[in-house]
Amino acid sequence: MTDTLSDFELVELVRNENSRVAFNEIVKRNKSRIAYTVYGFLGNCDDSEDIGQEVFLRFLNNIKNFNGQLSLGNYLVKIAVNLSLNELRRRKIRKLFSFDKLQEDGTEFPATSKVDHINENKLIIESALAKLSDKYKAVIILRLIDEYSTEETAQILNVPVGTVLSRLARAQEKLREILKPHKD
Amino acid sequence: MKNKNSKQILFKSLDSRLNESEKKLLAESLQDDPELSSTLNEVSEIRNKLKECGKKDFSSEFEAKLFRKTNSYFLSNENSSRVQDVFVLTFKKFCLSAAFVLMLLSIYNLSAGNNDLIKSVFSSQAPDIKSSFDYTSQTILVDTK
Repeated sequence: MTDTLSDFELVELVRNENSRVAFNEIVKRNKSRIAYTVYGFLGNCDDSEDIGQEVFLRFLNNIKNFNGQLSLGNYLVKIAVNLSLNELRRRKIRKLFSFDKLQEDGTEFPATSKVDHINENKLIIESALAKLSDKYKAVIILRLIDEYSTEETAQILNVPVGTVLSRLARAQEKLREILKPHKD
Repeated sequence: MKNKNSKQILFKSLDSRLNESEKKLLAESLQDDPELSSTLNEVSEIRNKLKECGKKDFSSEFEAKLFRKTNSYFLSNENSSRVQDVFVLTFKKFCLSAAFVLMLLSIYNLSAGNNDLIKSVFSSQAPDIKSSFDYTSQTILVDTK
């Protein structure tokens, strides 16, 4: 029954009638896009799934604050971006106080023997992304990996479209420099 | 300067619409400047690689784990609304019984002939002058000293 309802109607059902079914439908509809964003920022690790769950828990606990200015999907992605950036900052701090030899971005890469050609490409891109600062990483992930429009990216990051365009240009320049040694 | 400007337009062209003059300038610059066209190729290649990175979804257990975590939220909300419902119901019962008791008392008063109070409440008629000055209805204390 709930699958015919709009996102806003589902939110109203959760907010006013404490409907679990409506919340489950919200999760079902938006789970994948949250996964793309969170994995884009944090890589393939155990934390990513926890952060994904935290996105929906935060949304549920602050459901009264959702005013429909952003679409539900973009609102959830905004929470996902903020939580992922927080997690990256936590990792940096952890790395500062750790003596372990961790990967630069803290992601767990698989053993090189298991890595095939496609995965190798992916790892090169992931490690290049890890070298970018958070603001450049955010625009690259949202615009080029998750394929949101420039306007949507601006809305999610709460910055003007012009800022998104200039950050994208700089981020791509930086990626070009980082990836130069790996050029085939 | 021109090179920097055309590079900016090149990046802009990838994510946003160009106006006619920008389109013309970019086309000219790409023809004249081989470095700019190689930049365009490299950037396009990077963008393709980023898309090829693939998108990963959460595991099949994601929803079950999440719903276990949200259980407490829904239960606490259900409990608080239940407490509210009980409170409202009790209040309604109390009001109804009070109204019933008042009705019984009024009926008892009426049957006993004490209908002055009810008359005064429901009657729009003003008391006449005679009854207002009827001294016999009041107890007058006279000082006999």
